[in-house]
Amino acid sequence: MIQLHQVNFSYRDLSVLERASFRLEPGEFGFLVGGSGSGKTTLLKLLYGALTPTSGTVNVLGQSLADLTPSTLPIFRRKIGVVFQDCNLVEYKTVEQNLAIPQKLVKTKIQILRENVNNLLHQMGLVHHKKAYPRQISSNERQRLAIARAIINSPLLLIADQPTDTLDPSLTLEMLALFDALNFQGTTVLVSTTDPELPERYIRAQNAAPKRVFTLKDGNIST
Amino acid sequence: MRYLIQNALMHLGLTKLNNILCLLALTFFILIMNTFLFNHSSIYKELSLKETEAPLVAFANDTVVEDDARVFANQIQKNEQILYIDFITKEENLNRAEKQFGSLGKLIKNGFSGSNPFPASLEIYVSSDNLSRKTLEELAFEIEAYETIDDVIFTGHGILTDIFRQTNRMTIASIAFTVFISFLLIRAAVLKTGQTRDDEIHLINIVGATRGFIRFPFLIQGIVLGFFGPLLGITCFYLLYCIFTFQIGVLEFLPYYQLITIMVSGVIIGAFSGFSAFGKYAKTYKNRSVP
Repeated sequence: MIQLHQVNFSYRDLSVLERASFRLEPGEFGFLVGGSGSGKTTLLKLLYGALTPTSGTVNVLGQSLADLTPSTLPIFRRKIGVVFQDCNLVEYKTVEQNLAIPQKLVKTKIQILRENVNNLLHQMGLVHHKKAYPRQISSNERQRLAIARAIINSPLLLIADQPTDTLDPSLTLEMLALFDALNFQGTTVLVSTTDPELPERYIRAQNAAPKRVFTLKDGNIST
Repeated sequence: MRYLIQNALMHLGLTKLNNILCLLALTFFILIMNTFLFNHSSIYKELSLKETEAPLVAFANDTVVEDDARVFANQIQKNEQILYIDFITKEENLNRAEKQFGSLGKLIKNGFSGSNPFPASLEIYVSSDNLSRKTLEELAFEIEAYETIDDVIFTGHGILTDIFRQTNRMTIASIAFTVFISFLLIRAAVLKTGQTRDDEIHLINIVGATRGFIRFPFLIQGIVLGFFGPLLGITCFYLLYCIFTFQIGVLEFLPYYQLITIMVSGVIIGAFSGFSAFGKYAKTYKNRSVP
């Protein structure tokens, strides 16, 4: 599903990843743990092709990212759901319009689109906010909307960049439970966090199945 | 297609004020260009009416007999600037006056009890390259120096040609300026909308939008501005034409082929500006937004 092999990445002279390698199998749930500025976001960006490694190979969903062309990259990205660190909601679009964006890109029929949007709004408890704008809802609801948008196209892989770092502990667990439910349905999930104890705390609190934890430190990944 | 159009309309609606200002500016510049085109086509029409008319007419002295006048005509025709000379006899001039004045013509003919008051004349045609007020004045001065010539008059051809040439240059300059400024205005408006939508474009790029899907709204905005700008410009010009038509009398509005050319050019410039704005946007936000 995800395989990084000897990946190096640097922003000009600043080396971010040094010979980073890890593997996440299909259907697994993984945590990527690392301090601020350790390169978590960079690593996740490498996974959906927003950045290109300086050297090394990145394989995602059986596809070597080096082989992607500008015309095949969008098709590849449609198989991945991304939850951004800052949600990245479109402020001038309503909640339901934000949610519909990925569906429009895959040319979903309008009736099916409406159905999917309504189902997810119900599932995420956002149905009464469907005509509201992102600035009119709470940060937890924004985060849920961002997750809903990431999963509306039923992605094979869900990447979440520090989705819980700004949330309070109870909401954090609620959010992770949501990811867990998606993982249970077969979606591979990779969640990044700055909190090294979060995976353990979550497993204990929810009595959940063990998760893979990757620690990113000094540009290297350890399992 | 539905989503593409929806996306393009949303893109357009996002910077309404910006687009309105762009349209107003386009209208203003196209109004000015239309004024030049209108002058140009009006003078061109007037000039084509005078095409068969001699730019210079030299009236011969009454004492000059026809044979002498013809010899004189041959003599001055050696001047390289002169294309040819028509000799018009006294009788011919009298007949012309009779025709020109209709029922009053007989009065003219009979009013002088058999004597012909009209002098013989030389209608001097000049090659179109030399047709300018200055050349005609020099020629007239030269011809007038001969004793056999009483007077030399200008029919207005030279002045009109001068004005036409000047208008021609100014019209071409105004077209070039309007094309350039329209391109810049539309490009700036489209680019501004792109910048406003930057977060959204970044997002749709990450979730799998193709380059075509991202570029389409830029193109549509360019085309819409390129279509409605000239349309408003022409409409305003037509309204002004209607308001002042009683003053400008017989002058006709811009011909259809010019109106169609303006509209088509507007759309082409708009599309080109949209593409250019997208290129600039993609270059500026290369690592952030566009694949």
